[in-house]
Amino acid sequence: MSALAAPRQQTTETESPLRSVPARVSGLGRGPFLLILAGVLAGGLVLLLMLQTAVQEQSFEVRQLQTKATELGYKQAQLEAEVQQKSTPAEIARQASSLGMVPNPYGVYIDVRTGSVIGAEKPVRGNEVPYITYKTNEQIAAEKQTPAPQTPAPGDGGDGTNQ
Amino acid sequence: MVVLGLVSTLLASRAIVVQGLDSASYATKAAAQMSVSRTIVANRGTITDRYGEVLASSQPAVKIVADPTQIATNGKLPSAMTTKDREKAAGAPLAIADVLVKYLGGDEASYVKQLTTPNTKYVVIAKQVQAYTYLEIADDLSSAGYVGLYRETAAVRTYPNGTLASNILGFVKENDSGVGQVGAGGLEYLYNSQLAGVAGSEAYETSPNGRIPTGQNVLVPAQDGVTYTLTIDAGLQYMVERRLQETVDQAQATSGIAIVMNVKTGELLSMANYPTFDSNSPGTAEAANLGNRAVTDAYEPGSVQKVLTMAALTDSGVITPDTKVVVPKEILSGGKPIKDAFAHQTINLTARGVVANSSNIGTVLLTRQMDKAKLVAYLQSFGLGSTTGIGLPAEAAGSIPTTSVADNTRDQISFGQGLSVTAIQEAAAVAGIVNDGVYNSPTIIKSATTTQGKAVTVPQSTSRRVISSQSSQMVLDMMESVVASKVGASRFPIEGYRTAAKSGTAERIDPTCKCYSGYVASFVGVAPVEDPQILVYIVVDRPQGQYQGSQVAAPAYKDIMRVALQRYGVLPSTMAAPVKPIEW
Repeated sequence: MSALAAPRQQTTETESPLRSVPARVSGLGRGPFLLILAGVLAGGLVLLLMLQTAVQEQSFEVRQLQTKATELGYKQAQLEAEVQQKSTPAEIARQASSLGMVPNPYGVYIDVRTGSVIGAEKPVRGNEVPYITYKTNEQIAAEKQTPAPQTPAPGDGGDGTNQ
Repeated sequence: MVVLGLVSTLLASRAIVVQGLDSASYATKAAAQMSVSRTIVANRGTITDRYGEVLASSQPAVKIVADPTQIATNGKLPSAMTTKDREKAAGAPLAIADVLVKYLGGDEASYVKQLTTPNTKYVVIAKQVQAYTYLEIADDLSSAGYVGLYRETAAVRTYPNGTLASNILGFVKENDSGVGQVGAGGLEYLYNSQLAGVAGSEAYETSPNGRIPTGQNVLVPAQDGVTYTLTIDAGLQYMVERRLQETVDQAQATSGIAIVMNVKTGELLSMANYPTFDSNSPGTAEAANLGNRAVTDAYEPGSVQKVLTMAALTDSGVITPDTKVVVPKEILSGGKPIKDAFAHQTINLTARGVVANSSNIGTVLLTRQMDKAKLVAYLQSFGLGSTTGIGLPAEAAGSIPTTSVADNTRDQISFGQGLSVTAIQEAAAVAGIVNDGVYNSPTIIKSATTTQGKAVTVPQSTSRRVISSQSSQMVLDMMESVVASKVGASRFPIEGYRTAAKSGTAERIDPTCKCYSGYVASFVGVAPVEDPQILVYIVVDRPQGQYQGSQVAAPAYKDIMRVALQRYGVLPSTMAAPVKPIEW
């Protein structure tokens, strides 16, 4: 007899990785599945239709707005043309004359550093530069009744327009 | 069953042909039916003055056309018309005419006549109508229930200032295709391709219900034309044109030119022609008035040329203003006598006095002391005999003699006969001489930019020294003596400023008889003498009665210079002109 203890017999039992398949849950039947599928399809189609309709509506709105923008562009162009017309030198001269303003060819300068006036101040009568003075019909009619004095302004030696 | 099978087979066969064998052809046809493309017209570039004042611009416009056949039934089928429809259709021409009169003006009867033109579906009612005006007309007609007016899109070129600077701007005409416009004169012609821009296009797919929102859409935007900014001052130009008109009318002259130039830069502040035309309606003008005489017409400059002669003589060291000359009552040149415009016996003048009295004899005697080839070289350096490159169409070069010029021709050109110049050449030459001797080639275009703000190359001024600074002062000295002379003192001075000037009166060559007939009166002046900034040059062609430059052109010079000095804030002179000897 040996004194050694006999080796302990190892058990061969290990835990199995397999699990039992759960019992099959009974799903939808073929009928309901087809019904849902049809529902999804129908829903999709409706959604698509709504999307198309929305796109069409927006497209229509875009066209309307584009037309409106074009019309407003035309209006803007016409107004700009009017502004250009009213800001021409000839029109400004006409407007100024109708307000009773006359051009002054004897301007003087002010030295802003000292406040001194450079040049000789001189009154104007309105007939110094007739070629840039417009007259309204009313002014012409008034002049015919009471002729304006034609005396040159003091100191204006030899104004060319009188030659 | 058999029939069904046959039909199915036929349909399947057709489907195979359509979808399989000939699919490309059908696809192409379908695409062609669905696809629409249109041209996007580029806006023609704007032209403005130096301060942004619009001189030429394009507006959206339409051509209004009518379909008289449709108007006759007010758009109804004759067979389907009720009595009420017939009554309404009968009143349509008059009703439409009333709307047209309301927005376009004009005569109701002539509109009715156009709207009832028999046997036609196309009558042009009005061209170049503002697009918005057409929309208003269309709205009115739609509200009243009338049809038969249509539009054809076309841009309209407008010149809000009318005749102002029209000889510079030019004009446009309909291009050969009838759609769009093309430059036909002036800057509109010369820079047509830049002003016109590049047309764009848009291609998209449509259905009977209109554009397909998710269809193919290709947009190539139009590139609008280049905007040009001129050196011209519209306000000054207006005044200059009016003053020139008065001058030409008073002198009963054929035509006139006025130039105002910035001496320091060569920029033109004003360039006026008279008679002129309205760029909005060039068809109503005479052809001779459509150009720009200041650059296209060459003439003999007369005594203004003495400024150039004296510049050459002083710079080459031949004379100073105090050089003494004995001036006989006449001298011979090529066997023919040369006289002065004023009768005199032998007189003793300084070179300054020669200019002050505008003595032809004195000028010839001084010029004879100079080498002929050198004189011609000076004239060339002053820009005579070649175009200035200002950037305006049909610029003439004028003509000057060659270096082997005959003695008598040399004598003539010294006082402004026997050579020809354009007004712009002569003005630029004098400006260069008084600008401390530095010539700046004249410019009329300040800048040009694309709609994206990118700069476009334009003709630039080039500078060169033509005479020394000392010579420039000497010429100014002599020109100032003109203003102080007996004739000038009562006519030329501008109160508060020292000015330098020279008049010119030249016999005019008539190309038909190749003889002298009539005169060209001119006057050039610069101010202030201490630091010349503004030059004014007036040329009057064939004045009647009084014909001398000092009588015909000087008054306009004086008025224009006075306004220009004020407008550009040129301060008055602080010292009076010194008195210097003109006789000895």
